[in-house]
Amino acid sequence: MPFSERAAAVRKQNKGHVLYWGGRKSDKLVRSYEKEEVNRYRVELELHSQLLRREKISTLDDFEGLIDAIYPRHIQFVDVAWDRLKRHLRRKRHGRALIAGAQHRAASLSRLRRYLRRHGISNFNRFLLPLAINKKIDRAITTFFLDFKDMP
Amino acid sequence: MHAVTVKIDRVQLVSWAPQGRTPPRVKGFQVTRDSFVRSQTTIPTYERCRHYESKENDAKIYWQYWRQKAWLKAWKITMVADDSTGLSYDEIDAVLRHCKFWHFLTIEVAIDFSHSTGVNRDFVRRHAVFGKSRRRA
Repeated sequence: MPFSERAAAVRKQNKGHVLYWGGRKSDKLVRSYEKEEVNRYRVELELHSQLLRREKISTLDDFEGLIDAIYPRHIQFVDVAWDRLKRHLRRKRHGRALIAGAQHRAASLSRLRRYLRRHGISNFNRFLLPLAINKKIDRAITTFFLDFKDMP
Repeated sequence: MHAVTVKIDRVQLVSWAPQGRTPPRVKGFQVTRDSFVRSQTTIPTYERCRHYESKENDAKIYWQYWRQKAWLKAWKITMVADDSTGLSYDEIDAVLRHCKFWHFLTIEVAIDFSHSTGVNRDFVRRHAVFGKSRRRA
């Protein structure tokens, strides 16, 4: 197989495995994928100059400011408070169908949010509960940026 | 080994430089290539790019210079980290000490989750919220 075809095949293969949020022209772009080189699942936050300016990150010593800038504003893991959501949906017309539709889309938070908004449920955030893993993320980010200057 | 680890994965910045100044030697890095860069789009940007590789790990620097438009900064520098270690303070500082009136364009922070945390593609789709950013199809 010629190089160009091989490269295209790899690109196509990777395209399905990487998830993207945001965009190149917005203030951040998020990629998530399996990083085989380190045998871990990686979430990459690409912070653009617009966001860096807003958070006043302009020198190397300002990197400490990323602790508050990143978590919880730009990364968080949440779960849907199904009891609360169901209680809310039951009061609506076609409540049961709405609940079934929501449960059908539970595998993707984006799809679920879009579905509920289409049916007139705004402010989806009130049905979200933070997960325990957020504490580990917060601790990892804080430790890393506090020790960043002294790291070998 | 921690369940969640954080690294600086990539840093991109632009800097002022005196006219015609070529990229300097960088402490801890060696020059591996210095080549002409053909215009990638209809607008030509930088004519040349110097590649550096770390002497200690797999970190790389791409130093673009000889701007083709007056509104561009003289240097555009991209630092790419080694996959396992990330970029260190010293590595970034080694570049910044040669720059003047610079500012960051991009800082990429990588958060790695070990498999024991249960974070994978399905978990991220089901549970992740990244501020107001929406998922791209």
